[in-house]
Amino acid sequence: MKGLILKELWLSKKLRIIGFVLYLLFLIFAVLVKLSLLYGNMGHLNAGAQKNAADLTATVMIFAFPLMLYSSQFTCQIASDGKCRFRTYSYTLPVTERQIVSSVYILNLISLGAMTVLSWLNYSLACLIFDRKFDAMYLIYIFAIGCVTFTLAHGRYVLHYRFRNEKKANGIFSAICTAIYFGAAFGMFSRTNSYIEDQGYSLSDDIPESVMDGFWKDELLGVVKWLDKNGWWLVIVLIVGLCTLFWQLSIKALRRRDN
Amino acid sequence: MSDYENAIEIKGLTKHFDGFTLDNVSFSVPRGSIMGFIGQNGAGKSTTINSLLGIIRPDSGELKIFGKDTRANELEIKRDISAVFDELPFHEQLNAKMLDKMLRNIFPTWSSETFYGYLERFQLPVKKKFKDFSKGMKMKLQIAAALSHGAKLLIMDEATTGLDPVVRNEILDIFLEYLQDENNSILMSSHITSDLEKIADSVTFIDKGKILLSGYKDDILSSHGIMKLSKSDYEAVAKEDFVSARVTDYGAELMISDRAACERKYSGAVIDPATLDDIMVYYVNREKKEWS
Repeated sequence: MKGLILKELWLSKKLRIIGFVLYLLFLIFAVLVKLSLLYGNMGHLNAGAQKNAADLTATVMIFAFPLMLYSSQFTCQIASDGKCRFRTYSYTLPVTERQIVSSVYILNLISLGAMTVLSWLNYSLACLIFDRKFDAMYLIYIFAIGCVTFTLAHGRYVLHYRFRNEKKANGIFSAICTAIYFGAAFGMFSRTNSYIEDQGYSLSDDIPESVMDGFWKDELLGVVKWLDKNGWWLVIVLIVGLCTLFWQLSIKALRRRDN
Repeated sequence: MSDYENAIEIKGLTKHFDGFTLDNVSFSVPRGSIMGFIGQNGAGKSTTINSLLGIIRPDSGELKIFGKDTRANELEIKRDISAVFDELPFHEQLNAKMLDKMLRNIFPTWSSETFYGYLERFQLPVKKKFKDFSKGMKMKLQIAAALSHGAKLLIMDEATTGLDPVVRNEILDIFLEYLQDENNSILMSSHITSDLEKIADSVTFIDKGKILLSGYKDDILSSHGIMKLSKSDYEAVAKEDFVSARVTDYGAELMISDRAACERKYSGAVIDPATLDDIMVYYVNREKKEWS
C-alpha cells in the first residue's frame, strides 16, 4: 500500500504546493494589513474602523486560511487514474480495492493532521499579529473545519469512484450540495419568520437589524447548548460514521468493473 | 506453484455485451511456452484477456492461472503475473525512478536492480517524465516494469502494435530471453501475425467471439495451405474441402485446412504454404465462402 500512497502523493504534489503558496501569500497580505494599521494609511482611520479592519483580517486568517489549506490538501487521483488507464492496470496488481481506497484515506488523514497543526500555528500567529487573546476553543473549531472538509471531500470521492467520470461526479455532488443548501435555507426562512412574529413584528414591517442578529445568536447558541446537553461525541460519531460509510461505498464502487 | 502443466487454462468463457458475445472460449497456454492470440480488431482478444486479468467479470467459465482459480486466488496469482497493454498505464507526471519506488512497494519480489538494468539496456532516462517518452520508449518501459518482479507469466494485449520493426524486434528478443527459464510463459495478443510467426510456440485464433483454431503454430502452418486453381478447376472442388476462396478473374486461391488430404484428392494442384496472416484473412471470410 505504501507504493499507492507514494503515487497519490507525487500526483497531488503540485496542487498541494499551490495551496501552500497561496496560504503564504495570504499570510503576507495579513501582515501587510497589520503594518498598514501600525505605520501606513490604515493607521489614519478612526479607532473603530481600525478595530473592524483588524478583526475582519484576523477572522479571515483564523477561519478562511485553514479552510483553504484543508481544501487544497485533500486529494484523490481516481479521475486521472481512469484517464491514463492506471485503474485498469491496478486490477492486475497484487493490491485489493480496499488498499487502493485506503491509500487515499491514509494520505488525506496525514494531511488532516499536518494541516491542523499548521492551522493552529496560523491561529497563534493571528493572535500575535492582531493582539488577540489565545482561546483554546478555537483549536477545536479549526480541527472541526478540517473534519468537515475531510468528510465532504471524501463524500465527493464516492461519486468519483461510482461514476468514474469527473464531470458527472462533480455535477452530482454540486447538485446534492445545492439541494442541501436550499433545503437548509428554506428551513431557516421558516424559522426566521416564526422568530420575527414571536418578537412581535409582522413580516411586512421594517425589521431592525438587532432582531436578526438576535435570531442568529439564538440559533447558534441553541445548537451549542443542544450539543453541550447531548454530548459533542455525537458530532465525532457522525463524522467518523460518515467517513467510514464513504470509505466502504468507495471500495464497493471500485470493485464494480467497467463492462 | 510448481506443479502445474498449463500456465493458463480457459474453459467455457462466456461474456455478453450489447452487440457482442464472447462465446464459450476455451484454450490453454502450456507452461514454458509462448502463445500468440490472434484475431482482427473486435474479435474478442481483449475481452478474453481482461476476463483473465479480472478487469472485467465474465458471465461464466472457468479461468485458471498456474492451475489455480483466478477469482479465488486473485492476490496470490497477481504477484506472479505481469500485464502489458497497448498504452502506457502510468501517469504522465511520473518518471522511472518514481515508478521503481512505487512498484517496489507493491510487488514483494520487485528487483530495482533488474528494473534499472532494463532501463539501461533500453536506454530509457530515469528522471524524464513519461509524457516526454515516445511510443517505443513507453512500451519498453512497460516491459521493463513487467519483467522486474520475477513474473512467471506475461500477458500482453496488443503490446507491439504501433511500434516500428526495430523496436518490435528488440522486444521480441527480450521475450525469447525471458522464455529461457522454462517456468516462464507468455500469452501475447496481436494482429501483427509476423511477430507471432517468429516467436510463438502455439497460436489461438479468435473471430467474432469464437475460437476457430488453437494449437501448435507449426502444426497449424503445416496443415494449412493455399491451393491455387484456375476458375474451371475451382468449380470442381467440393465446398467442404476449403475454408474460403479468393476468386479473381484469373483464378481462385483456396485456403485448405487439411493439406495432406487435399494433396491426395487434388493431385497436381499447386498448394503454397500459408502464413498466419493468410489463415486469419481466409477464416474471417469463411461465412462468405467465396470472396474477391
